Amino acid sequence: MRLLASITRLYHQFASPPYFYRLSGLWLPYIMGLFALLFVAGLYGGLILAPVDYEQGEAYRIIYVHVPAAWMSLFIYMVMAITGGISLIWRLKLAEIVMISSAPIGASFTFLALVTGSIWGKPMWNTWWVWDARLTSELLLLFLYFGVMALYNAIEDKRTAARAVAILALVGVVNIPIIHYSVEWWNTLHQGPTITKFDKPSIHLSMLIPLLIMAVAFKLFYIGNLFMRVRTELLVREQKSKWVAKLLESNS
Amino acid sequence: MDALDFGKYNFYIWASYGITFVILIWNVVIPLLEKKKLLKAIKRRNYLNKNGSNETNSESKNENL
Repeated sequence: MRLLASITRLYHQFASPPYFYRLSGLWLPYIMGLFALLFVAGLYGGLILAPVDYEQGEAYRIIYVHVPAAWMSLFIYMVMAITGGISLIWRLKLAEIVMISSAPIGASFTFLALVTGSIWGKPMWNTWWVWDARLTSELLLLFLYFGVMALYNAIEDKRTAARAVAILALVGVVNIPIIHYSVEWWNTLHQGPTITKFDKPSIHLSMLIPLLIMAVAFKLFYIGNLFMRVRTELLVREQKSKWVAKLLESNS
Repeated sequence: MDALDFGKYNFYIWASYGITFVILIWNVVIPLLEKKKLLKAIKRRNYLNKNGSNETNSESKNENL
């Protein structure tokens, strides 16, 4: 029981705005530095080291931005839904802020997945767009992100806005398994999974490693960018508090 | 630079990576600008409140007392 109590205390300390502001500020340069390192390594591996695909030729190299972006679009949505649930149950301010700050980053990665997919589709399928299950459900995800952002901005009181957004985010979760399994449930033009078939992955190691590096890099970018946005949103909400005034005084 | 020549797919690959760069940079620049604007606004308000300028209305003054 004492362990549980100390975990709860640690959690509340971490979630307290001034503490999180200070700690995230310390971590931010390391997170973004590691991102830059992995991003360059992923680019080098994907564009130069990885061999040409026997079926798709050089065009398959779009995978190194397309697939990590698509993964992030789903991952960030799940973060948004989970922090939405937390903010509904425990009314934790930091959870609300993480939820709402994730939306523009998630929308960016969803947009990136759609656009790079479209650019990849043109030479491979000879069309920029088809209304197949994978593409349509991913487009719906983009609209869900837009909906979250619009709803938050439409409601004046930010705590009420966060509650409304959390409900929307939780309802939208139903779309996530649809996106994931769409290529298995329906006969789509979009190719099936090549990575998540762990029994027999249909991708060569020299092609797979840059993809995994890129996926980690994108995740780090999300965390770093999230910290940046959360810090600003904390300042907005707490601008009349003592710790913000103190922080600004010591800065100027 | 032969390694970066992707033949007939040059346009498609460089367009994809170009858009990736733009979106990542956009995501960093926009929050930085917003933060700068916010800090300026808070500092200005704090300064005006402290120095009792008539530019602030009495309502926001009372909130900070």
